[in-house]
Amino acid sequence: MKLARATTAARLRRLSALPVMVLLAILAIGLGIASPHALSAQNLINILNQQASLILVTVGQTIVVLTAGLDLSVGSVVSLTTAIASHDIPFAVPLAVLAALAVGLVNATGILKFGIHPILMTLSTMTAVQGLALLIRPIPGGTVPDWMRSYAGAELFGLPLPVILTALAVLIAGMAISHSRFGLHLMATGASPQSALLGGVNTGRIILVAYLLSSLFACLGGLNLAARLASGDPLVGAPFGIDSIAATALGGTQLSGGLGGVAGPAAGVLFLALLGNGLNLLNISTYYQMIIKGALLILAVSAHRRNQPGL
Amino acid sequence: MLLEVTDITMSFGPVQALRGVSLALRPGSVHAVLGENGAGKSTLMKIISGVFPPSSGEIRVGGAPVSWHQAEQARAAGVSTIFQEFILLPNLSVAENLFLGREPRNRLGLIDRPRMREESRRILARVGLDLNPDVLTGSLRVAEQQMVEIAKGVMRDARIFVFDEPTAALGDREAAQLFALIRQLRTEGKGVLYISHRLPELFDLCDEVTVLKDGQYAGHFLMKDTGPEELVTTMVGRRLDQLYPPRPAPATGAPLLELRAVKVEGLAGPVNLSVGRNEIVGLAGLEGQGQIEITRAIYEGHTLEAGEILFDGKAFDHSGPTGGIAAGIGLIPEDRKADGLFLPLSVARNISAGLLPGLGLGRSAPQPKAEIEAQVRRLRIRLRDTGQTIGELSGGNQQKALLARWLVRGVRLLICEEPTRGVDIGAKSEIYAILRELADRGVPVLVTSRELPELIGLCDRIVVVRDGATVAEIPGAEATEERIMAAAIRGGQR
Amino acid sequence: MMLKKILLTGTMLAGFAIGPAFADAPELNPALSPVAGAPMVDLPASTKQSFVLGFSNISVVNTWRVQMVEELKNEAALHPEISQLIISDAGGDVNRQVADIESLIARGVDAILVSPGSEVALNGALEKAHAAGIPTIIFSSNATPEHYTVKLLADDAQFGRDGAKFLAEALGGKGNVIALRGISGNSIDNDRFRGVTEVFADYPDIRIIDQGFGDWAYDKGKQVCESLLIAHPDVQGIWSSGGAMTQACAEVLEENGLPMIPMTGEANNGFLRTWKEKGLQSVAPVSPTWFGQQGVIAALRVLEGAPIARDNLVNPPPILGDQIDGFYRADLGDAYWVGSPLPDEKLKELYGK
Repeated sequence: MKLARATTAARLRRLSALPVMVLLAILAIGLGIASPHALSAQNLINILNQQASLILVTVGQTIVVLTAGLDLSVGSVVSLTTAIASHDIPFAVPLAVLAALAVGLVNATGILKFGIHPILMTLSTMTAVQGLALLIRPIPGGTVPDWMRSYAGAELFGLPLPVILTALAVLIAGMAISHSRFGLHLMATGASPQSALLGGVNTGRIILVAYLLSSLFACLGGLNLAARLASGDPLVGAPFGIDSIAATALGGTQLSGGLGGVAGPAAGVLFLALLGNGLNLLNISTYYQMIIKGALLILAVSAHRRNQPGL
Repeated sequence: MLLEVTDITMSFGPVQALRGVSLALRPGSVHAVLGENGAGKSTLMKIISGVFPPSSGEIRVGGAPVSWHQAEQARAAGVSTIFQEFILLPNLSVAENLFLGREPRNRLGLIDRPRMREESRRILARVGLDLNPDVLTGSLRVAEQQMVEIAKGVMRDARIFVFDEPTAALGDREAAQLFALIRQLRTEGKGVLYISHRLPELFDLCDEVTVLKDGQYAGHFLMKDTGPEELVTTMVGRRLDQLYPPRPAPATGAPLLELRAVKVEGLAGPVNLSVGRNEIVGLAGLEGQGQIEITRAIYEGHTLEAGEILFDGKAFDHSGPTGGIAAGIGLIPEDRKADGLFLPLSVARNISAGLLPGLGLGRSAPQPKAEIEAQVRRLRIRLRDTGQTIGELSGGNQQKALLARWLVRGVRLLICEEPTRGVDIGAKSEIYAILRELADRGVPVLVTSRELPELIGLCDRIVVVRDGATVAEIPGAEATEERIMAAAIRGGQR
Repeated sequence: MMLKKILLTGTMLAGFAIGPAFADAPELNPALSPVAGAPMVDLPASTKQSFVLGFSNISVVNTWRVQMVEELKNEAALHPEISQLIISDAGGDVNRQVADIESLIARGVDAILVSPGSEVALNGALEKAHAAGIPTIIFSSNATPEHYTVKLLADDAQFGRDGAKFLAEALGGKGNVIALRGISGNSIDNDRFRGVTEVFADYPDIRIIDQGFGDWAYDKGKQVCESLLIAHPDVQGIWSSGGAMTQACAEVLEENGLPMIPMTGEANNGFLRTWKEKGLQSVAPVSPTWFGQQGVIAALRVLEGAPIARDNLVNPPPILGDQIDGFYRADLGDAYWVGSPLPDEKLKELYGK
C-alpha cells in the first residue's frame, strides 16, 4: 500500500506552539511601535525576571496537563513554599521541597487510588495547603537566608541568575518531553490512559511522577519568588493556579492531554506579561486591561483549535 | 498446541461472565470464537490478552502454564491483541506507537529516533504497509491503524494474534486487505484467534470455530464440516428459520396509513406507500436513500413539502411530533439511546413517558404501576424491578421498554426504525413475535432496517426506496436479497 | 545638627535665588506632621523644568484605593511642571509590583511614588531606585528599605484610639463592649485594635467581652454583629474597625428592637448617612484617602528643593456628632470617602446617584 500523508507527529507538536509565538511576535512589534521603551533590553529583562516564577510553575502545570490532568494546587504550593522558606529555621528550604512533594503525592494518590477527578482533587489540596500556608505565616513577612537574597540579585553575562536558571529549566523540561521516554509516555497517557496501559506504559507511575514534578516546579517557583521578595507571603501564589493554566492553554498544550510542550506555555506566560506591561506603558486603566486580556485569551486559544487534525 | 485455555471461569461480582470455557489454538490456523452479544467472547479475549486474570482455570502457552495480570505480560509471552477499540495512540507517530514501552535509547538516555524510524520502516514493510513512520497515527484510516497494530505484534515476534471484531469498522476493500494479512500470518505458522459474529467472513477466513453461549462452551467445529444453520443453532439454541414468526395470509381492506405523491424536504421523491391494518411493511434500500427521512416525515410532518399523508383516511396535523402522536402513531427511533430513552431514569419512568399528556407542565408523570408491570410481563422485559435504571438493561430489553411505552399509550400504528439494532438473537426473535402480534391485533408496523434478511423474514410487503422515491414493492414471501438489491440499485417497475 | 540646618537653609535660599523658586512649591496638608526627630530631606533641587512622575500602585481593589488614585491623578494634573504621570497597577500582586518599580526605574522617571503591597517585598526594588538616584515617596502603607526619600503614613493605632476614647467617655468609664474587627491577620486591623487596647488599659471597668471578624464588609459584618448581639444582648457599646460594619450593626439593633447604644464608625459617606438618619451616638475616625494627592505634593517639594521631613504621619481629628453636616454629602453614594480634595464633577462621576 502506498500512502502519502503530510502530517507527521513531530510537525504537529511543533505547530502547537506556533500561534502563541506568532502572537508574541506581533505583540512585541506592536508595543515597540507604540512605546519605544517597551522593547528596551532593561524592560525585557525586567519582565523575564518578574515572570521567572510563573514560568517555572507553568512548566510543572504543562507536564500534568499533558497527562490530561490539571493541578489547581500549584498556587497554594507557591504560597506554602514562601511561607516555609521565610522562616529562620534550619533546613527551611529542604523542608519546603519535602512539603511540596508531599502535596504532589497526595494529589496523585487521590487521583490514582480513589479515582477522584483531578480538578476536585487538586481543588481540595489547593484549599487545604492554602490553609496550611496561612497557619505557618498568617501575615506576610519573615526573611529568607542570605544566599537566597544574593541569588535573586546575582547576574551572569548581564542577565539575572533567576532568568538564566529558569531558561535552563525550560530547556531541560522541553528536551525531556520531546526526546525522552518519559515525555512520550506522558503524551501516550494523556491521549488515552487505557490504550497507553494496554500498550505497555506504566500509566500510574507516569501520573504520579507528573504530579510530583508539578509540585516540585511550583516549589521552585515559590523559592524563586521568596528570594525575589526576600520574604514570605501566604497569599502570594493565589493567582498562579489559574495563570499557569491560562498560559499552558495559550501555549498550545491541549487541556484534553496528549499534545503540547513547554516552549509554547513559557511563551504564553511572556505573552500575558508583555501584554500587561505594554498596557501599563500605554497608560491603559486596569479595568480595560482585564477586559482586553480576557478577550485576547479567548481569541488566542480558539486560534489553536483549527490546526490540529485527527485529534 | 500454541495456546490452551482450560476450564476458565470469570466472575464480576455476582455476575458470572464465563463458566468452564475451554479452547485450543493450533499453530498455522485461524480459530474463530463465535457467540451472541454477552456470550462472553470479549471477556475470554481479555483474559487471553492479560487484561485481567480469570477467577479460575488454566492458560498454557506453548505447553507452559502462565499467570498474567497485566497486558504487558501476555505481550511478552507472544500474545498480540488487536482490540475492538484501538489501543494505538492517535497523538503519537506510527514509529512511537510501534515502540511504545520499549523505545530504543541513545547514549544520552534519550530516544534514538533515527534507529526507531529505520526499524519501523522495516517492520511496516513486512506487513505490506508502505508508510512514513513519522506520520501521525490519528491521521491514518482505520484499516491502516489495524495493520500498524498487527505490525506491532509482528515486531514483537508474537506467535498468537487475537482479533476482536476487526471488520466492524472496515469497508469491503479494507477488509480484504486485512484478510490477506491474516492468511499471511497463518502461512508463517502463527495462531490467530478471530472474534466476529459476521458468519460469511468466518467461512471465508477461518479453519475452525469455538461457539460460546451464555458464558459457556457450546460447541467446536471445523469450518469445512459445518454450515451457518448449525452455527446459529448452536449459538442461539434454536434454528435459524424459527427466528421469524409465520406470515399470515395477505391482508385486504382499506389501508390505515397512506402516503400519496409525498415529497420530503431534501429528497427527490415521490413516495407512494400504504400500510394495511394487519400488515408489517418494510422500507428497504441502500443506506441513506431516504428511509429515515420518510418515517420522520410521517411522524413529525414538518419536512413534508408536497403530497398528502392520510391516517385512517383523514389528514392530520403535520407541525411536529405531537400531531402524529395525537393521531395514534408511535416511533421507535433508530438511535435508541440518544432519541428514545432517558438513560439515567428508571424503567417505569421511561415507560410512563408515553403517558405524558401535552407538555405535562406542572404535572408529574402518572405512573399506573399495574399497567406498566403488566406490559413488562407481557413483553418479557428482564429486570430486577421497574425502578431499575434503564441504562443498566441490555439492548433487547431497552427496545422492549420502548415498545411498552407506546403500548401503554394505546398506539394505533408503530414505526420501527432498525427494530433489532444492538439486540441479541434471542431477544430479536421475541421482538419479531411482538411486532407480529401487534399487527394481528390491528396495530400495523412500518419497519426500516439495514439487514435485508430481517426485512425478508419479518415483513408482509417490502417497499424499496431509492433516492427518496419508492421504486418497487415486493411481497414478503417472494422477496430475496437479490431482488431487493436489484431494485435498490437500478430502480424497478412498480 | 545646627550646622546642618543652616547649610540646608543656605541651599534652599540658593535654590530660591536661581530658578523655579520653591516658594511656588505646593504645601502639604497641615494634618500631616513630621515624626518627632525625623530628619529633613537633603537632596539637591532638580535642574529640570518639568518632571515625569511614576506611581506604582498595588491595586485598586476597593473604593478607598480608587478614590486615592483619582485624587493623585487630579493633583498631578494641577501642576503644569509635571509633564507625564505613569501609573502602573500590580493588581494585588507584589511580585508584579517589584517589576513595575523596576520598569519605572528603567524608564528613568524623576520620582517614584509607591503605595506598597508589602512591608518587605519591595525593599530590593526600592533600593535599586535609590541607587539610580531616583527619589522615592512611600505612602499609605509601609515599606522598609534602608534608603528612601519620603514616607507619608497614617497611624492606624490612632484610628482605634479615637474610637476607644469616645466609647470610654460615652460609657462613663464603665461597661461591656464588643469589638467588630476587620480581616483576621490584617496589619491595619491589628494596629487599629492595638490602639483600642491601649486606651482601655486606662479604664479597668471597661471590658471587651467578645469580638468577631466582619472583613470590613456590610454583609459579613451583619452576620457577625447579629451573632455577637444574640450572645450578649446586654452590651453597652460597640467598637468597629470600619463604617460598613457599624452600619450593619445599627440595623441589627433596630431590627431586634434593642436600644441604640454608643458605637464607633468611620468617615465614609454611608456611615455618616446612617449616623444622621438613625441619630446614633457615634464618632467617625478618619482614614484619609488623600495620601495619593499628598504623595504628588511631596514629590514636587523634593524635586523643587522645598523643605520636607523624611518621615511624616497623618493624624486627622475624628469627625464628631455636631460636624456631620460639614462632611456628609447627600448627593453622593455610600461608598464616598468624605473629605476628598477632588472637584465636584469628578466626585459626581465616581459616586453620583
